[in-house]
Amino acid sequence: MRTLKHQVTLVSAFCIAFSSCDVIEGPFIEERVVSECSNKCRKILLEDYTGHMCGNCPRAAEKITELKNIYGDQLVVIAVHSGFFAEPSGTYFTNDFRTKTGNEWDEHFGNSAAGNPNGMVNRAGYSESSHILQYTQWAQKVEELLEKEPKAAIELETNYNANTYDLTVTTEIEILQTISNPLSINLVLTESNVVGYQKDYDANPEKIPNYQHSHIMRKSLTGSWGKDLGKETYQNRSLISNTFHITLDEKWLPENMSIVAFITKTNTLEVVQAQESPVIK
Amino acid sequence: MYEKLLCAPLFCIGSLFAQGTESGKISGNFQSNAQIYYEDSNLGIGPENLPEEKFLSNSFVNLQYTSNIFSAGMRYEANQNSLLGYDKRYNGEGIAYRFVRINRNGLDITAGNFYEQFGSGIILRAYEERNLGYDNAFDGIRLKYSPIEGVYLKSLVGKQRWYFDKSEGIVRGFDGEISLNEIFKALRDVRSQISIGGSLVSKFQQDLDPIYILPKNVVSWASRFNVHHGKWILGAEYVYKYNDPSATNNFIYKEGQALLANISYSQKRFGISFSGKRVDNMSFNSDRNLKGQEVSINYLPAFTKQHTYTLATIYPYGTIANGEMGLQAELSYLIKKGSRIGGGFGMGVLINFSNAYSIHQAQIDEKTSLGKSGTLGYTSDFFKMGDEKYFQEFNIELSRKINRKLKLIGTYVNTHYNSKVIAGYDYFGMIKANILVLETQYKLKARQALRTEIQHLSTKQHDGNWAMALVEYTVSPHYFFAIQNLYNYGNKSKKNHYPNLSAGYGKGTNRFTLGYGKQKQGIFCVGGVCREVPKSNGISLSITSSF
Repeated sequence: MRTLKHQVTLVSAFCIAFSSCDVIEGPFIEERVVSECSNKCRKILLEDYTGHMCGNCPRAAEKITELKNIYGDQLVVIAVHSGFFAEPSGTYFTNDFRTKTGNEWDEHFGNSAAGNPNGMVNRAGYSESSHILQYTQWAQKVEELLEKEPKAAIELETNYNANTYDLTVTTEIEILQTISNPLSINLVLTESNVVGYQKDYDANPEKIPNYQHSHIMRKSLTGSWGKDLGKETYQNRSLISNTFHITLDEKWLPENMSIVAFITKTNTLEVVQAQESPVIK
Repeated sequence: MYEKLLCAPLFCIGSLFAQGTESGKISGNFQSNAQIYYEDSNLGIGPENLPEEKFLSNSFVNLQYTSNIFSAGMRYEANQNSLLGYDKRYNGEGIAYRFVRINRNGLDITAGNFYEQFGSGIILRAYEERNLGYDNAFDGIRLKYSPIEGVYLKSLVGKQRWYFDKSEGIVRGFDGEISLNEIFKALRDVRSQISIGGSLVSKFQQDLDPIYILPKNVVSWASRFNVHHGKWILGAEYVYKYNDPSATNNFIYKEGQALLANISYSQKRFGISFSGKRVDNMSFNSDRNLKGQEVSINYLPAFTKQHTYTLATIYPYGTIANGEMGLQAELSYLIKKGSRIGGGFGMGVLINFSNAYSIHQAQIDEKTSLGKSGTLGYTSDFFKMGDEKYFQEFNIELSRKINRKLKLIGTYVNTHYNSKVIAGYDYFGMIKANILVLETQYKLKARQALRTEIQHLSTKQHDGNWAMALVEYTVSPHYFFAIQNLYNYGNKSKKNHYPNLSAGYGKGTNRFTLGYGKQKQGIFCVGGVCREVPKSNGISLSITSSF
């Protein structure tokens, strides 16, 4: 009987040790202060894989708004419409926001196959197959990556001719820490405030006719995998300049468009730095 | 990550063999499923829908060494690349499971990977369901100990598998079960067998979220009892979980609860059972940021019959972890042989009814919408159901042997399936379907048998009506040949056929199956856990072997 008592005590102690539980009584939301950011601070690229037929995707878009409110310019967003949910469908969902680059990224990284909505934050974890993040994981990853110092800075200069729809973009990269990897520069055009149908499982009716799509990737200026910058190692303080041209589609509204630039490690596709600038300043 | 620890158990096995100090045995099994994919214009599979590899395969081998006090094992997986329908994050190869287990003087220690279940699993269950591509095995330490007869204790600490990686959270668990009849001598000979049990599970995960103030430690506890009294069995389990804001519950801070209860009675030729459940905010993941069931700590069973007939599996129920209430009743009866209905061999009757509804939910205050993130979410009356029906099914199966050669099995299923809630389909609302199946089993000669299935599903919603026929010829124990066709003749946009041919050969413990055919798009579920299966056309090969 004495042994039994000891055992009961042991078990109880074990239970108490386990039962340390954090019960949050409120408030549940953190008060965040958004700090101003210069051009040379670290900026994070968030790729949101989405589609107008994806009824859960508006939740991811809301998360982006929430994160943009916190991180401001330090978060650069591209909405990649790809996969089954992005296909034109029926009489309402006639928009086709898919792009060749978006389709190739999706095929390569496996985002829509993993179920939309999801995304990548700086394509972190790609080599270990942990790159696909649900929208609820984005904040944590952004927070984690922002703690690191920037390795490069990108300056963007745009020159748009409204008569010819020609856009010239000059990029100047400044290396802030020596990087021993081949690097590529990637440029894509995005458009916001595009009104079109979107499915939303939380809305009634689910088909929203005047949904405002944001950060839609329209076209890449550098192909799907970027323009290689030509070196194996980049020394601290070195500067690299490039100029790119594109003619905008007449249906796009340049005043709602941005140019998104990001540097990737050519071999791993991991994003080193990102930048965004409106087409018309 | 997994590979690093592989060496330990394998070296142990090697040295035990070499020294000959233990008389143990090695066992294991191997399985490989491969498929070549083709374009199919009828199914809308163009070059852009085909996997780049054209050929995909999922393979694994399990190896286990067992002796009296020691066992060790591993599973090597090679998904190069994963078959369509499985998550691409399973692509790759490596040791996905390895363990050593020592059982001495009543203390059973497992180090490495293990599967486990506490009670019915509603607080903790780690298991593998290969057909679903589901594996949430723990990697850590587990102890099992029985200090006295009738008292069974388990404890564990570990992280769960997440594809070829591990989930962020650390899970700690304790479970105790007491058999009153074994402990108290006075109760040993009584007719009622009573056992009680309790569990405590805690999850730790860092709060790195910049938006919410999150609990790093989330505790859940459960209590249960089970009574066997003659032909009666009565059991129930209740689980409570403290605030656990997560992606699945939209980051609300409400507590979670679930109750499962069942009663059954069985005697010769007759059995009846009733089960009921209420689940409220009981998704419990070892990573709060992951939606779905990839790293579920607990398991919420679907209270429905598990069908095997193809058309009866088109609308399978998947448990709604955020909240549901349902019940299931089952009756089985064998009509006596010699009676007018029973004939010379008797007739089996199996009737099953199940349903699931939403739970009652009310706003926490006037200003806060239901389920709003960063709030307590909602309040709920424990005994009140919600207005929305998720699922309902009635089915009856009659089986009768006509003579020594012929057996007939007839099945009728009536399903109400809330497509939006369960599968995320819309446009189709509540799908109502009637399914009829007639199976015949006929012995042609000694070792030769013919089995046929004729199935029909009728519905006005979704893809409309389906018909299916199957003929299977078996020459035991070595060969089988099967041909089947599904025909979606009620589909308004495209009336597709899905033919399949397959043949198998088996010798000893080796089995080879070769098939060619088309696969329909759909949802495949096992026990309420589901995955999507894409449409495909191709040749498949399956090899299994055990030793």
